Amino acid sequence: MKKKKQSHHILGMTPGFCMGFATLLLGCSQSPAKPIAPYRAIVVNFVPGVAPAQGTWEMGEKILSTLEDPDTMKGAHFDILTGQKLSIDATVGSLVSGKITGNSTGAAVRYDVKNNVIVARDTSTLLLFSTFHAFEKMFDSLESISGLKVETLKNAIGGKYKIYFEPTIEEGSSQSNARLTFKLNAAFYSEADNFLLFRRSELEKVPLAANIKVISHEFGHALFKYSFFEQKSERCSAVNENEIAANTSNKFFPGRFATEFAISGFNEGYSDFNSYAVTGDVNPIEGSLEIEDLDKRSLAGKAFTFSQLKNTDVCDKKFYCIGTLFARALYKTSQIYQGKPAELQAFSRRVFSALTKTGLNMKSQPALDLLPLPRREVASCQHSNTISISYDGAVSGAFLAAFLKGLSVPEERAALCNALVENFANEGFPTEARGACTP
Amino acid sequence: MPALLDIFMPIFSVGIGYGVSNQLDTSNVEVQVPAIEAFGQGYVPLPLENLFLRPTIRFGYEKPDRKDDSQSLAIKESSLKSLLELGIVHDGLLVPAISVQAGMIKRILTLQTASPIAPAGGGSLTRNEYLWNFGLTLGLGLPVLNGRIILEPYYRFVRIEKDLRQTSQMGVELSVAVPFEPMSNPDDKMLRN
Repeated sequence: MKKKKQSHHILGMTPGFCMGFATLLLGCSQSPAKPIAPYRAIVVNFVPGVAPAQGTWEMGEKILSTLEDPDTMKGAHFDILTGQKLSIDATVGSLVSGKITGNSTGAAVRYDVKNNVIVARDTSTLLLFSTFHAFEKMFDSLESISGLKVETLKNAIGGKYKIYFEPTIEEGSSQSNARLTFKLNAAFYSEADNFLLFRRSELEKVPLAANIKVISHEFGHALFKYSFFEQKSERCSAVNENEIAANTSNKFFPGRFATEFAISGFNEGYSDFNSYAVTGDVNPIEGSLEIEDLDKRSLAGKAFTFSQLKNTDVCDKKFYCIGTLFARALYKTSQIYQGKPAELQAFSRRVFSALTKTGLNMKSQPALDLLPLPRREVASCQHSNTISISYDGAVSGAFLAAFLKGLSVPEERAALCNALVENFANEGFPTEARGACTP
Repeated sequence: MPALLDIFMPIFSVGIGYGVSNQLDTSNVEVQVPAIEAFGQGYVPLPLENLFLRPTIRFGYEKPDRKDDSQSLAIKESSLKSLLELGIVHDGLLVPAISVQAGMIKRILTLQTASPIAPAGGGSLTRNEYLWNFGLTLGLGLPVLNGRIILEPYYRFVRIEKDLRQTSQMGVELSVAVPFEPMSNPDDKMLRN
């Protein structure tokens, strides 16, 4: 009688698991169980508090409804890529320009599947799925807080967003302290419409990459680019004296606004407001970085004014301080809808709508007259590190006048004007810029 | 065997080892994984001159030296290893060895959270994994005191089931003959060549 061939099953491994040492050493491995869509994973999740109270974080199982492939971290709206190298040319706050190199590899995730739930086997994988969850929540909120459909935004950038997870900074980068600086950051890579999530660090509490408040702040930069910059990435050029002279006499030379100290501030401020609109939390970095003076970044922090920005004791975050003044004014205005989330979202959409008109409004009165000719530093495409109260105050006044002109609800304009007067005073919000304040 | 190569090969020896492998994580960042091991081994003469079969039982502990995890969230891992090994060594002034290993790793995964992250809901991230572990080791023993002590630097190709982050390990082992004292009658040196 023919003996039935026995199959051995050792500790749950498949019979074909290994065929001797040679096979083992050359690449035998057991395939993990595959989860079934819609994918669910254990991630870090932010639970909003009632502003200005801080929210909390918890670990929990979440559905990642737009995740298409958990092994490559490709999604319907964005892909997360790992293993990239980044060469930085310039940074303005959390805006980065530079070069991404390396093969576009999918994420090397390591997970188990338990009851069809993805359970990470290492910290990197846990962060990757948590990052995906945070971006997905941002995309879920996009239409309600901006009025912009996801597909419209994707069409504008020509496809999906790419998120570079913990890229390594290449040696020879122009930023000599890049390794230290970029540890503590996430960034929007404006020219390429990508997001950069830098290597986690022992100085962080909640990793920045898993903090939806940080993610939605960075996404605010993408929305500012879409609205104020009309999705254009104009490069500032000043290769010789003739070009600098031409820039100096042109209020709207290409790349001017991306170089302006005050506009960089408004970009940061809108991004902080976007973080608040998405999460309901008043401080995007609280919970992650506690090495900074958090109160100065908080939308509900101790008051300071534009004219006090000369004094670094008041706020030493450079153009971020202008951003905080702007974000605080928007936040204060939003409080007329306190406890009414739907109306708060509607206000956020009107803010975004006003921002889409601001670029054009800068070219008409009263902003056109308020906007000064570019100073030499700006005309030379150099980013300033210090505030000039008179020059940046004039740019700020022009921006605010153009922005207010686009805000459609008179009551909101009036409330925002009051808040802006408190925060920017005459130096940053001159009387001539307040035409839209009175109906 | 020439006098110069009058190496005492024990019947049994015990030893300790220290090695380091590099773990290449998702972000292409290398993290060092120090490992300590304890082992016991025997030497069985083969019919071929100066060759011995060296069966070994090995226990080890390793933990990635990860300093860049955030304060409030990490999955910490450490591993206990048990391996059976079979090698061939050549008795001489130097003692080259080649061996293969197979065994199991108990990997202890622990979710570590701190304020402001609450751990509730992340319990399933804390667990133990049992993984097959295979290796091919090339070693070069340096006999001391006529072979009663052998210092053996090694290079090991490593394969861990469901974990391609670690592929090799370098280290050094120190083994001591048991019993340490040589037998008084040279003829009793069963393994002496």
